[in-house]
Amino acid sequence: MKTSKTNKYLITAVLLGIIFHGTSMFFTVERTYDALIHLFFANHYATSWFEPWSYSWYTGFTVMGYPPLVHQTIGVLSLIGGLKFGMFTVALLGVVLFITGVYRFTKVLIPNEKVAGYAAIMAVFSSCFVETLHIFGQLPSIIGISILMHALPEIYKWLKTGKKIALFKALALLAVTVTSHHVTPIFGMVFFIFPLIGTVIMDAAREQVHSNKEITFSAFAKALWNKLRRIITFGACSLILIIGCILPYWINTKNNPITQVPIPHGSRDNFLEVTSSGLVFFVIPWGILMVFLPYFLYRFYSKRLLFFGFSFSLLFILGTGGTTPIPLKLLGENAFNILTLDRFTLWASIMALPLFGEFCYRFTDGDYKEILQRKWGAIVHRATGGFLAVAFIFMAVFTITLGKFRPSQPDEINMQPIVNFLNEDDHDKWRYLPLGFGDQMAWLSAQTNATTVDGNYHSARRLPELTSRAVERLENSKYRGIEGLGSLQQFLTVPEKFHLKYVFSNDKFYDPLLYFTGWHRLSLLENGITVWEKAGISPLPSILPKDDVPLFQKLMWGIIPFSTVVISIFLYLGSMLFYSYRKKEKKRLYIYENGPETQKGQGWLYGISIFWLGVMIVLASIMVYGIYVEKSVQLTPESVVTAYYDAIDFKEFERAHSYIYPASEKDISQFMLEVSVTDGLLSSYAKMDSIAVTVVDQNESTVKAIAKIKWITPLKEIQTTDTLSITKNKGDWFIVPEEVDPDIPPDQLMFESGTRFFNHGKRKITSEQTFHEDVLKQPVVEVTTAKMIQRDSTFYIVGSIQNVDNIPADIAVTGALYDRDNKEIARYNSQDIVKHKLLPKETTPFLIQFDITYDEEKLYQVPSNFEVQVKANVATTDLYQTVAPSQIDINESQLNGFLFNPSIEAATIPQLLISYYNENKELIWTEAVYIDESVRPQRKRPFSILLEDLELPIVLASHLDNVSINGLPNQSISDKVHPNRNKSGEKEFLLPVDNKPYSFISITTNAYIGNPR
Amino acid sequence: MRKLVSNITFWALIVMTAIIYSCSEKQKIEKTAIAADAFKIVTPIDQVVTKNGIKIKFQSYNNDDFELLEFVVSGTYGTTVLKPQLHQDQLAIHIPEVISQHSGIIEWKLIAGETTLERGSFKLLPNIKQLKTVENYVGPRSIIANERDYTMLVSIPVDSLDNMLPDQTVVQMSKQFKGDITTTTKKIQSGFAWQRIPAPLTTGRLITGSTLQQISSKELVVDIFPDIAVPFKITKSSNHNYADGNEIIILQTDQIKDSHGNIMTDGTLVTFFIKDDHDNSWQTTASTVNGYAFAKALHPQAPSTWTVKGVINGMVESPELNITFKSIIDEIPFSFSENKIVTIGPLTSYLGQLVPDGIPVQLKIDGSEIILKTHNGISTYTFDTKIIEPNTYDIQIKTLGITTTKSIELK
Repeated sequence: MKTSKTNKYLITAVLLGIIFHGTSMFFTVERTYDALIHLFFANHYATSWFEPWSYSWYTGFTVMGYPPLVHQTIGVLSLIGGLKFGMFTVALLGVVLFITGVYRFTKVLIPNEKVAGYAAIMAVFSSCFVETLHIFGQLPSIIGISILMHALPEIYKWLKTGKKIALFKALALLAVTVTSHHVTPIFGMVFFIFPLIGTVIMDAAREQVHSNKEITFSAFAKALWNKLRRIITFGACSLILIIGCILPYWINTKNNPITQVPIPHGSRDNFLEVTSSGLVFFVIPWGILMVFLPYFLYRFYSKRLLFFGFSFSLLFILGTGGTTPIPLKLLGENAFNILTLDRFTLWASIMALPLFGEFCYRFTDGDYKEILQRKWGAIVHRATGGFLAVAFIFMAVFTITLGKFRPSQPDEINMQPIVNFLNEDDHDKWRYLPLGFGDQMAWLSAQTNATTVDGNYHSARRLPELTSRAVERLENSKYRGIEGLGSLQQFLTVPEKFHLKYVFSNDKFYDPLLYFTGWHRLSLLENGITVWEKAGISPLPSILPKDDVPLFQKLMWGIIPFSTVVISIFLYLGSMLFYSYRKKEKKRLYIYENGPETQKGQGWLYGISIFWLGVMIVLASIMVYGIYVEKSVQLTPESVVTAYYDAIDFKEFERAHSYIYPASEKDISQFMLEVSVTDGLLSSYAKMDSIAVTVVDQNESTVKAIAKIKWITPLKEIQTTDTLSITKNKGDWFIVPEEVDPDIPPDQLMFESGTRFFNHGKRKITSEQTFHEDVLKQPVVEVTTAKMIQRDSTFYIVGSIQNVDNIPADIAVTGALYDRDNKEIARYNSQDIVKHKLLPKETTPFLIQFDITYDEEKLYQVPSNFEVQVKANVATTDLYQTVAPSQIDINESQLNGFLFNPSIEAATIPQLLISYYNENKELIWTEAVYIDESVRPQRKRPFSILLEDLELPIVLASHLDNVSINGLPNQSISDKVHPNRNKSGEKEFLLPVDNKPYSFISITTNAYIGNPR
Repeated sequence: MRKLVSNITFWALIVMTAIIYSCSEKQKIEKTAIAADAFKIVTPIDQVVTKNGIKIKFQSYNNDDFELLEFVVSGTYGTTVLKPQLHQDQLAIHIPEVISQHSGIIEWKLIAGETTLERGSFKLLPNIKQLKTVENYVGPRSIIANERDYTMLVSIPVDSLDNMLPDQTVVQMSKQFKGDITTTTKKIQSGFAWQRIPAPLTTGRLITGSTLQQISSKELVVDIFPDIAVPFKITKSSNHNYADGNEIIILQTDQIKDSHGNIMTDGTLVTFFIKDDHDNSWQTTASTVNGYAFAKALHPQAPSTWTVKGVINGMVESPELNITFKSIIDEIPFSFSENKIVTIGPLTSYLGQLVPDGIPVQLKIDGSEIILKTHNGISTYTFDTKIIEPNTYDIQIKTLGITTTKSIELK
């Protein structure tokens, strides 16, 4: 047995792999993008193996959209030690399979045990593998490619020798690949197996002649003809396997084609423009391998590996994403937008590993060692080797810790309090929505029975609200700007459609949106998550719809994947037994020469490699310099302004303070004090989207800079234009701080008494339905006006509502439009243009906007009738009155005044509902204006609102015929509760406006209190 | 490998056997004619509901054919088919408790194949000797103290098996309001008794309950809330009447009541609309506590007269209240130095004290407007001759409701 000599490299590699990855994965895998999604799927299989329908996400979806093997394996292992045990075990299995896979793959490419051993060791620290496992967490992808690499030698054997056992083994492994990851075998076929077939034919052709030079096209064609039967047999069988093993997947793909609007992914970016994507999807996966590109190309384009050379080049190009237009053209629009292109880079770098192994072998042990030592001397050679090794391992360590330095996920959330909350008092009978959870939302879903409208597997989405938007998840919709928030708003505005009652907020960014769409805070869980609730949502029905699939598909899905593993293991065990009784003989499968012929062109290669190394060093230096320049921002006035706002945006106030002019005598303590008293939409709930700095009247040492900034807030996009004075001091530019408002509030100590409300809910502690005596009467509200109006081609319902009851009300207003045949055209709720919580006798205007999209076939329809339904429930919170509009003065188009806060709560985000009236003092329009900064107790906040030349909308209908309150006709309420309504306070105090299409306006105030006392 | 194959074969065999066996089960029962009088049951009579089921014995039967018999029974909760059972040589049908515990008419039919042998019906009566409780419902749970509004009390007494009691059973329905207890006797009709309770004209809590013999209902409560408010008066309270822009004025209502003298519920919203003689508007709100609403506003910074009205939207409003604010200064101190620095102040208030920080001072020069804020009564501005041409200008200064114009020469 000769193998023992070389196996030590492999054993070293496997042990190193287990130690390196095995210890680090406990700190990384849970924070990756994908691992928890696979965990969620695994939990599904662990609880219902044969049922492909999961209600947990997207109001129900089928798990047949992803090959099940890895998930099922984790699921089975979870029965032993829990889900995470299963995940780590499979990850460890992936590590071992990957290292051994690279070993076996190398042996096909370069039949040298030592080279293969070196390649295996390199595979352990390969940065692309580290990234795929520790940053992306793509377990199925890793298992898939590893098994595919194991299959390659068997395919080679079958094609070369025609041994049937090799064919069976190859097919069995291919089946395992197919059932673990669908994309790997399909593209693997093109990028790994096709070149392998080419190589086999090349070898076969080589055997017929005496030297490489004699392999002509005709010799190659002849060899191809000889092998054609085997190739076709293998091709046909593997096609059957790819289709057959995951047949339900293909059926599902055909029945539910992906209608998702493309969701942006970093791997499709232009890496030169978006450097962060370039780093993650190009620089890191290639890492040190990039330095050896000339060597790889030289070796790949040698005659034997020619086909792998083509494949490698193609993969390399596809991996560059949107940097060049080639990937888009090669893949087509559709595939380009669905696939994530990072996988091509992964495969390309895996394909390069054997050659890297070979290089390392030659460099440390082989011919290069001799050549280089002769050229450079032993010390330089060793030092270079050492440097390369350190750089290679450094790259791996850097990659593994990337998640630590640039966190892509929120901090780990303790899910137990949320799980407990959902289990309590049947809370899981409603849907919930996590916000700001990152990929950990999958971990929550895996632990609870409750279902959510969100989800983390985009291809499975079916709700048009989700598929029509390029939003990754609702949970992180703020990263998709206004479009993302628009999608979230749809769910928050019409939660009854989805039985959505609870929102778990881990990001206070979304809180104002929740407040203004009528949600209220319930409690703060002990893990710091705020629970928001919407009143009056009906629970989920006990039977939910699902797309059922025939029994045979369920059985196939449940049985085949594991069977493929069992069959493979049996086949390998069988052949091991078989071989162990026979005398081992080392048989070369093909002629491999490492004689003088390989030395051809070495001189060229050396020259090019040195040049390339120089290029790489220059590029790396540019990168380092770029990082340095980015750090020293005070070199120009523009960059100091940008950096200042960047620091403010990320709440790094110490850094922001370092850009403040030192002579301004604003020390950090004063600066922080000023920061701590600013609050509001702009300073606490905005995310900077873009900034443009222009410099005006520049001279030697002072500059005026105008910063135009676009902010994304949960409620609207804000554009601010700030003018800053910049001053130069000792070569660096600084910002001269602005003066703070010197206004002093009148009173030091304030007294306030008022009414607060409390509702027990259930008085008796029982999980039975709430008792009759504990059910409160729904408050009686009255719609006083309602109009259906049209503006451009959009329809609205505008009106006003008064709480005529003696108890506070929480209202939800639904509007519906009907055509001439009384068929419903559209239905929506009032979003933020209404006050959702009303004190007794309080009045609010409301506006419902209908976004009707007309397809070409459907004619443009003007609705002829409308309906308003108001649902009122008892409100106990968010009723506090904070701001008083003061000294309001309408000066042509400018509405000026200030908000005074006479209360003892800070009005974090004041909202002004501005209603417009025609000359008859009839309400025709309402809009919401948010004041960007908060109003603290007893302080003033001046505002100035530009009154637009709002054209009068067309009033299509104006009546209260189809208005109902809690299911009762509005008129009956009006007759009973308040038959003698008068005009008090409704018309007398409207503010007159001159020279506008409308004649009067009125202001209703509302405010979000971020930190109630 | 071989073992695996044999295992698979073994399981396949078991499955096959199971399938064949289950198919062979479906033997058809042969139909034989049964004489109409071969079977006769002891006709069940009207009886009280029971938890133990009802056993119906056969008067005559034969032991051979009874398996062909089926007893179809329809009760309040649906229909079911029962099979007679031979137990200790006695053939009997057992009507299960799910049927026997609900009162109502039970229809039954004894059939054999397609022929009906016997049919009939009997009543299951509620058990009036074993009563459980009186279920009460009242609604709406809150009503308004006026002549229009009322609530309704419904009593449903039930027996121990939750059956409603027969008509004409007498229930005592009671209510208590402010110490007055009224008891009405009502007869049950269709299982329940009901009563309308007109709203009392004073606010409070109306408590209801019902009794029947030894059993009673739970206590149910109806809140009586006040009716629409009647006009109220407003007053103001403030420490002084100077327009210094830094004092809180409290606008307050008197106790707001409805036409029957009931005080408004706490939390009722009152809005105060304010207009001044410069065409500016104010708005401030307050919710009532014990009928009183206290709203706060900030004194204006210019001498002015406010006209205030308190309003409950669409319902009532107060008469107007006029408030006059006096100016705190007569003239604006002004100085100009170094040909570019303008100093306004020190501004002093009604006692000669410095005005509070943050009083806005408006400068108008050459069509542009500059707003300054006072620090320790003073605000200064330095003109930059790079921005504004050196020349002689008239500047207009406006603060605390006073405007003056001064001429300056910028150099």
